[in-house]
Amino acid sequence: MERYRFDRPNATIGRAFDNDIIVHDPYVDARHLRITNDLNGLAVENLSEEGFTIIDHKDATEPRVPIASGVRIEIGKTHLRVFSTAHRVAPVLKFERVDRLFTTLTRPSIVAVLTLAYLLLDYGNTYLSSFRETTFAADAVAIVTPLMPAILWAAFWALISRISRGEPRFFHHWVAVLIALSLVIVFGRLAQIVAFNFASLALNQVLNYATMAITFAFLLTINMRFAFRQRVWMRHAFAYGSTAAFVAYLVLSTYSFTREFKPFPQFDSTLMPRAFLGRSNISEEQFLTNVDSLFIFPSEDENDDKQTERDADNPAIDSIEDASAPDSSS
Amino acid sequence: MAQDAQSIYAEVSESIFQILIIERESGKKVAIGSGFLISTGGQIATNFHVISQAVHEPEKYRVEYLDSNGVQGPLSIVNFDVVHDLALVTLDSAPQLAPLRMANAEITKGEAVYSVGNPYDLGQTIVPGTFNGLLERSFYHRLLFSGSLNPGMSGGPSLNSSGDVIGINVATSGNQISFLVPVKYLIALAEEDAANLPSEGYKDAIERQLVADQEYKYELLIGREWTTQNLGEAQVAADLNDYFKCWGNTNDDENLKYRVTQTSCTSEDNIFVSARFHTGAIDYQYAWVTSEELNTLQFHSLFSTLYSSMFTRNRAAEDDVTNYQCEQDFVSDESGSRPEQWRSVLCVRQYKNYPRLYDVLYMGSLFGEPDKALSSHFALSGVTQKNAMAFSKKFLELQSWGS
Repeated sequence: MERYRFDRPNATIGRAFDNDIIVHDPYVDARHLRITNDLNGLAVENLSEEGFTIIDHKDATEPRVPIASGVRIEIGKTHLRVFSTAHRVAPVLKFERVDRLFTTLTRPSIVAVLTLAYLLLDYGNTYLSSFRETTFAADAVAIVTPLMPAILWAAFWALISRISRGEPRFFHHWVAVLIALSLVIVFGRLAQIVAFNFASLALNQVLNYATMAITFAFLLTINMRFAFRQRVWMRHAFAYGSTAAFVAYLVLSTYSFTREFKPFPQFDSTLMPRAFLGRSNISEEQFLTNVDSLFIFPSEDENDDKQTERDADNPAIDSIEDASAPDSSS
Repeated sequence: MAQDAQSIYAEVSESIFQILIIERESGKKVAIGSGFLISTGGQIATNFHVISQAVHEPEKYRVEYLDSNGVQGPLSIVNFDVVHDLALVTLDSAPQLAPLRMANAEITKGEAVYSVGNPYDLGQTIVPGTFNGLLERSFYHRLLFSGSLNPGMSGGPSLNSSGDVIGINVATSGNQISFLVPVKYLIALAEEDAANLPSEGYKDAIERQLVADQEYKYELLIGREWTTQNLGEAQVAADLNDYFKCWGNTNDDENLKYRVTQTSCTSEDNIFVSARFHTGAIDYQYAWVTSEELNTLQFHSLFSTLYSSMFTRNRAAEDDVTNYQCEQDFVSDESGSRPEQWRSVLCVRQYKNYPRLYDVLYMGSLFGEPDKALSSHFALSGVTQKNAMAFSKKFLELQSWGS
């Protein structure tokens, strides 16, 4: 189901690309009909010579038929309902805020502007971390490359939408991806400032995960909204559930990573200009005092140690003891 | 009386053995080296690194000898000097063989030296070469032998033309650059009373030797005034003492929008503890970074990426060391001529088997200027808390913006 809003006196419908509403229906004429809204009220003008038009289950034979708001029109195999803005629409058909926003954002011209804006943002972000002379071609490739998976993602959801609702809505999914990617960049930079100020690797990681979780939840919510007809709570349960699973995976893998042996130290190396620093320094002496307490390491599990020592000393006797009376040694 | 290789070989070959490390489970050798008889009581000298597996895992490995007549038999460990890579093992019963004589006269540069050992398990060989002096720019003095030492010859003797031992084969850098442990360390080890070693345990003995060694090294370093040099607009430490080898480098890649001038100093002393665990090295580096093309955000971002990793040169595995713990903060020093702001990180890890020793890493970034910055770094391996703190304090106090 597609929704269109017009704030001008007329709109044409047909298969041809210069129509206001393009219908992919072989039974519809290239330019099939025009809907007008003027002082005389709503009316339908039949522009097709061969195709037929049914208004409220009746063949429209007149070239111009006045209609009431909310009336059902059939052209070819396509059904239309026309509402005037004065008409009170039933709640189920009301545009929700997100739908309204996306109806605007998915106009081709706006999609083009948004895509361009994202490319500029991405370029600016990359530029801040590039320290070599580069060529335009290399820059272009570097910027477009990450867009490829984004296009695939949008195409994947468009396919799902096509199967599930018969409406591909590629632009809806594409705009959602663009917004998500922009969020990643903006949040990433904000997180950098916070991590820099707190000089903390753990905080840096938490902020990174939070950014990922928010973006992922947002993207899934929007994708599912336009791809499925399920109830709201089902869509949300799926989107937030997946996000929670994703975050749980990140936290678990980080936890297991911190327990592994690493030959290199892990620390936060974020460095920014002094203007971004909103905290005071400590003195060299204070730093060295803090460092001094680093030398306290939790000792290895003592029981394990004792066991290995005993084993090493006298393996034969130990194994006999263990088999018969474990406490006989004391 | 000067002799040639033939007569020297004839004189000593009977008292030189192949040392085998036998895996108890398979009964086959896993490592080989050489050794030579130094006392009538049956004591044999070799390298610590030859027998290290049997020291660390006696339940898995044992030491055996193979003499020039093809007789094989067990050896037991008497004592070792992990710092100078020496070990003493002993035969069960005193053999009817003459021990090698230790040289007591100084050897002069250019003298002929004959090195004996068992390269690649090919059988006993004698390698002629030239003595090329004592390596003085090192914490542990070694003799430079211009001759070819090969794996398997470790622990074998190097003899002067009278057939007296002047050093013990220990390492090679290829191309006839080989190193010998001076015989004086072997004499000292042989005179040491090793009666306490079994009760002390090998682990504790190694720790005791490593701790004593780093005390000696850091006393030499911390006790003296460090000279400084300018690097860009900053003041940094010059050569801490003669035992460090220092190198410099400036990048001149025209595609880079920045310049880095580095000085890097290292003491090339790595003590072999086990095949996967070396310790003892000290390194420090400075880098002066400038850029005219990068904006201040880019410049700081560059600095973050350039110095996000740091490491020690020593080799260590999970069984040897804990993970690093780090302390990081913004540190300022208002006492100098210009206010200074450092982003400092110091990381420490402990040796699991030798808990009095640590590896310590420091990374400091002197930042705040839009287009120039200094990064300073040091890495200490196998150091006690006391010496690490003293070194850190001295290192931190010295670095600054130049006057």
